[in-house]
Amino acid sequence: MHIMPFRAVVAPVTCAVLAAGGLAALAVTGGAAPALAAPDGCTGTTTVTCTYPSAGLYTFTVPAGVTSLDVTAVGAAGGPGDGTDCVGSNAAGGPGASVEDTAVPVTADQGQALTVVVGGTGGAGTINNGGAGGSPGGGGPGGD
Amino acid sequence: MIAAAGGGGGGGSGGASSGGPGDTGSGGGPGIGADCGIGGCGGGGGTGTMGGAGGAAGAPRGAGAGGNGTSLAGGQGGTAGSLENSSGGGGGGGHFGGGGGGGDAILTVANGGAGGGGGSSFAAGGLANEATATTAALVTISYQVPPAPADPSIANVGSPNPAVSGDQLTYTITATNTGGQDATQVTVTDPLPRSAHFDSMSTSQGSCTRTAGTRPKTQGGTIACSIGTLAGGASATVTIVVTPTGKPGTLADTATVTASDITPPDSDDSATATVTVQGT
Repeated sequence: MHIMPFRAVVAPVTCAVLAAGGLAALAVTGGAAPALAAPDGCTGTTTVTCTYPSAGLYTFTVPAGVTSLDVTAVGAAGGPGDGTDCVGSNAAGGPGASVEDTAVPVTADQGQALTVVVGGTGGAGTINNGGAGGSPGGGGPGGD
Repeated sequence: MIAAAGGGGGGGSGGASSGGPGDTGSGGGPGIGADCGIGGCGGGGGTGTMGGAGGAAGAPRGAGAGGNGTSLAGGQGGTAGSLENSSGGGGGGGHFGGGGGGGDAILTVANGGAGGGGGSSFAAGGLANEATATTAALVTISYQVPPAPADPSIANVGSPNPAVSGDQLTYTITATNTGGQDATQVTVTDPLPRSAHFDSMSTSQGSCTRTAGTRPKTQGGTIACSIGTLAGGASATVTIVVTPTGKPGTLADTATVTASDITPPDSDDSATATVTVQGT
């Protein structure tokens, strides 16, 4: 059984941006999952862009006065298949999807916290076992 | 409302020809498989609205390539070749659900399929601009920095200084919004010194009124100017002309600026012009 990494909940305590093994995403969750400190990846003066390029969970705090975000979420690829007896037959996993919402509304309240989740690439299949889903946000494992 | 979906579902069971589907949606139409012959590669996955299906099996030992992820679901993994030692590629991650894993070979000596990419989402009405990823997984968040709040300030200069009792003295009062957002309902008030005879008043923006002081009514009084709105960085100038009538000494005049919804006031909201008054 694959454990789902995120679930939408009724009470939106925290919003989350999630980029899973296949895709990045923004989501409201009530989860208390530990989050890493946001990386020093924000640049710009009048338009600020923050980039989260590595798999993991981060926290983005909405600055005061900001009411809308432009979020692009890019998912990771699936893992490669295994065909060790066949040269060149280890087919690559499919690429993830990329989606963008140019006007994600956020409240004007200062300090709203969004959890950013950048997904991990799916695991490679091996000679006997299916590869694991990407983490975080991974899809199902391969058949074995 | 922003919401996220979970990752992909369970994997395929042993001997299955395909891995588990993504959490949301299943594979769409079959991929256009390119049968590359023995040991060859499987075809690439299709890209359907509910997630592309896996590529066709390599024949007979090739591994199918994973399907593309889409905004709704990950592409399902490629189907394995029909003989041993072949496996499907992992499915790409989708918007809600991860792609299913690739299937294994149908025969007993099987290699594992690959894991599916994870699925995730922001569903704030935004499935727009969907595309197949061309980079590794990442998230970018951009926003416009809002302008600084309105912040009115004031300056007050008396001229000439020193002045001569009985000669006119001009106060030049400049109200400036040093913030970025508009300052609205800007008002300048100036209770004139009683030892000055009021002569005239004017403003570069809005209008001014004078409330006469006590006897004699031509002395002192309070000037109130309604400036209106000052954009960020904009200024308005109020000019007041008086004639000092008192004994030699100093004449202090304090002007104050206010605006709506500007709290708390700070030290530059008032300014005092102190003019030395000489005898004739």
